[in-house]
Amino acid sequence: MKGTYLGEFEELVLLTVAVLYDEAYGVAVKEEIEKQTERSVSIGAVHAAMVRLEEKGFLESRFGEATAERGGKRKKLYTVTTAGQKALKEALDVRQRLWNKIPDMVFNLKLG
Amino acid sequence: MKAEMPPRRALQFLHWFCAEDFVEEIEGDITELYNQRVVRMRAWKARGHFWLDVWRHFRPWAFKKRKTTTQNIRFDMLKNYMGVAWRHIQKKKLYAGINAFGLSIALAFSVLVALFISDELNFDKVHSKANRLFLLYETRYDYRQAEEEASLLGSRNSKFATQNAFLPAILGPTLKEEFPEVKKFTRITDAGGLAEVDGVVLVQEQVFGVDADFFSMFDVEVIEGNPAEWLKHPSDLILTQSTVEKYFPGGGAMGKTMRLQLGNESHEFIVKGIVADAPSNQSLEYEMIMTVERYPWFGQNKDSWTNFSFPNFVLLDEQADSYAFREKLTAFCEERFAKNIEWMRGEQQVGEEVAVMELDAMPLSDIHLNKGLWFYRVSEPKNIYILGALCVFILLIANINYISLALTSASGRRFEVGVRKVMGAERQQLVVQFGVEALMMAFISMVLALGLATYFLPYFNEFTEKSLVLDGPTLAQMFAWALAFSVLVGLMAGIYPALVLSGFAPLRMLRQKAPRLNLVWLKPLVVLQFAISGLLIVSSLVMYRQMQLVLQADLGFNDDQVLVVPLHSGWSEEGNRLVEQCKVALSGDARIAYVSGTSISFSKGWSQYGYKVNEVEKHAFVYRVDPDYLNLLDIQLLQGRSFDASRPSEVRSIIVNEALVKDMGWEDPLSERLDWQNDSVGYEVIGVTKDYHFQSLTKETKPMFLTISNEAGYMTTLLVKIKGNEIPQALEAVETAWKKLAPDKPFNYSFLDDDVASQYASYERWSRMMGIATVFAIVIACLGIFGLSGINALNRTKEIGIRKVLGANSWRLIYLLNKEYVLLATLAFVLAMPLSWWLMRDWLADFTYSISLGWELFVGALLVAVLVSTISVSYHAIRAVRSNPVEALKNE
Repeated sequence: MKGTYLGEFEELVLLTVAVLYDEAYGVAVKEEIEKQTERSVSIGAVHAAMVRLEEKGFLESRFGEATAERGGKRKKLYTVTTAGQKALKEALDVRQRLWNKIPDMVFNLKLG
Repeated sequence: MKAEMPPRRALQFLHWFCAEDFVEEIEGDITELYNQRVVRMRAWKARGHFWLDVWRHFRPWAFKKRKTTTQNIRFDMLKNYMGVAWRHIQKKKLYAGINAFGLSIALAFSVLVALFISDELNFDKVHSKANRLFLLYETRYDYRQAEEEASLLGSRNSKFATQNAFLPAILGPTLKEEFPEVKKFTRITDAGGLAEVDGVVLVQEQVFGVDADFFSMFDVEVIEGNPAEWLKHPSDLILTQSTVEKYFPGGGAMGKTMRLQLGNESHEFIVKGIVADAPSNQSLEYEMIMTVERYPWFGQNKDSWTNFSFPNFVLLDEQADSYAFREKLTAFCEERFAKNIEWMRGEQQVGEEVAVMELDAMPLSDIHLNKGLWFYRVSEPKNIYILGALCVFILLIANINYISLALTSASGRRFEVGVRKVMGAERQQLVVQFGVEALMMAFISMVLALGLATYFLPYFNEFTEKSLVLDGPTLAQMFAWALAFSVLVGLMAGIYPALVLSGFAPLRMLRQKAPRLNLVWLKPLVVLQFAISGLLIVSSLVMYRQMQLVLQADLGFNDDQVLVVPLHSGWSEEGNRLVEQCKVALSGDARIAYVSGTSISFSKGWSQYGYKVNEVEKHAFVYRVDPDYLNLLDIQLLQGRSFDASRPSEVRSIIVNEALVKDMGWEDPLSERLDWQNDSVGYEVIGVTKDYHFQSLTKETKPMFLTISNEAGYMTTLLVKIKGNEIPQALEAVETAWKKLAPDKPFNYSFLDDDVASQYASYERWSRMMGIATVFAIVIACLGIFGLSGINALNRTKEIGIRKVLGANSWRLIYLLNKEYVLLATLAFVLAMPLSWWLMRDWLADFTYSISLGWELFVGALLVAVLVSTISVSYHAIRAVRSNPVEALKNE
């Protein structure tokens, strides 16, 4: 379904938002992804993904407190919506089904 | 913790583009990141990262959104503007046509000129080593000539210098040996050769004699063969693709043999390679390439320092300082050419302190536009300036036009503008509307212009003797330029009316009282237009009259119906024999008046001898002729007689011209002898001819004499005078005789009057070019005046109405409306006159026999301009005068 399709990076952002639970805002998400994936992520890309996810209805946001290191600007805190949960679950299911369909011998040789 | 301030400008930028919904979040996040970084890294780096972060948000998703409704309105309005513009164009087809036509002619002309100029400036740049390739040349100073000129011009310091690239053959090898920076050299000789295949002689070919390094110095595209192996053997021959197609149409040219006649020798060659045809925009036009050793005069001159007939090119090392190299040539020249220099100093009777000869090297790319240099295919840089100036002039006129016409048509639209304003149009919108209209016009003109340019390109090529092409990439480039230019013109032409019209209060516009357009500032532009047209009119009149003078001048001989046939016999007795044989063969033919021969035909070169008379050096042009020469050309004898073939002593006699008699100061020329061979016996003068123009009219008639002695050379050209009207039949008779007498030689002929006229071909071409440009300029300028007088008549509708009601007569009114333009035209002319006089005097200086720049020329040109402007203005004047005054006055 177009419009609600979840891209790889979007899935990553969505998951991270879920992981961070109540503290999910731009910089935190960027840092968490960098920590987990060990790849450098631009804040611009994170923002773009979150805006898209919000448009799709997978995320919702509210403003948090303002701090000095943010130049007096409020944080925008994101939480995953039920639709977001469903999308994540679906993505996981697709993966799970595909994993299950892989014949045993395929990876056994290499992993074993 | 005290927060650091991130770069202010970056934040400003963010706030400028970023939508309200995101800006706080983004600013907060990137500021936080900045504050983390500023602890870890240097401030400037952190600031850089901050900028980068801002830049990473400069994406469409974050942009401020326009309200979708406004966007649609804008688009709809644009559609409306275009529609209205189109309707307007259709309503005023005449104005629109004039506008588009004028601008497209000017643009088309500019496209062609741009092509020409870029071709001239890129001449010889095809060679990748062009900046390291140098042509050696000498400069010689002739102080005697300088003195002559100085006394003529009344100035003291005139230096008479000639530059010449034909130098000794030994120069190249010597330079390579002695100068480490000279990596390679090649001599380039151009021997006209006759090609033979299967024993049949075919036409003349351009055979280049070069050194083996030629192919690694110049970029020559190899089609077949290995250039490293070429010219190792004297019989190696390299052909261009088109010569291959000519001589070996079936292909398989490689390894075939081919005989070439070079001078008096004939050699067998083997085709060792095929190269692409020489590109048209470079100095070297080769058709066949052989080793320079096969050049007929190479053997006897290859070690000589006194034979000057070989152009030498050197390739300098990449690191070499070309200026240092050129400096060093001065000392080299003093040493190697010591003998020549000493001799020249003696000849000119000047001391050691003055330079009589200098050796220098010229970069390949400088050669083409160096008209003074004696080398192949040098061209006149003046042409670039003339064309460029013409182009600028015409563009200027067309632009002024465009603006004034845009104003004319705009002034009639005040109702439309008024209604738009009442309906709430903003000023900015009106400017956009007029801008869109102007751009539409400009765009139409541009498309037309490119079409015109493509269509006229072949004619333009003929004019300029170039082979310019308007291919895909060039066309795209021109399209881009023309588009940019059209936008500029369109905006220039569109914005002013837009600003003026949109500035009026709507109520004033909707009332019948028309606000006047104040066009004072257009007047200087009109004067400029007229001045340019005046300049062009005068120039083309002068050029036309001069060409008439040159082409119809009494040359002192009759060049009608004279056939000129090159003998292709080199410099040998064979030529003389052929002339004799032809004379016998054609003697019975009633269609042939005379047969004769000459060592040098008109416009095909010259030969000059120097001799000493009482220790004074004198020069004379010498022609080896045949006894019938004077009769054939109808040259008038003032004294004495023509040559008489039956007298054996006749080989020691000469016929001189008046100029020579004057030069020698002879009282009774027929009793004199001219010792031109410096053998103290001299040649008996048997006749004196009236001066005739044996050279171009750009030159003064110099001392000259005719002789039938072989000492002055051999026949190279057969001349046949045809009697009566049966020219084709006579031509056939000559050809039949020729085929019988010289079956191994091609029969290619020309007519003498064409040859003579060809000396002025380039002048004639430029005069025609000027004529066409003038017509363009006048037409475009007239269109402008036409439009402008239209505004004028419109603005004065009421005045004219009142005048008519009060009983003014029509002539008076027409005079009233015309007066201003006639005055403007006259003023412009007065301004243009000194400049055109100065320019034309310069142009005429090339001709020794020229028309005088009389006042009648200028008056004539002024009359043309006034007449033309009166005609354009009168259309509106007559219309205004004939309209019913009630129409003009009823709305008040």
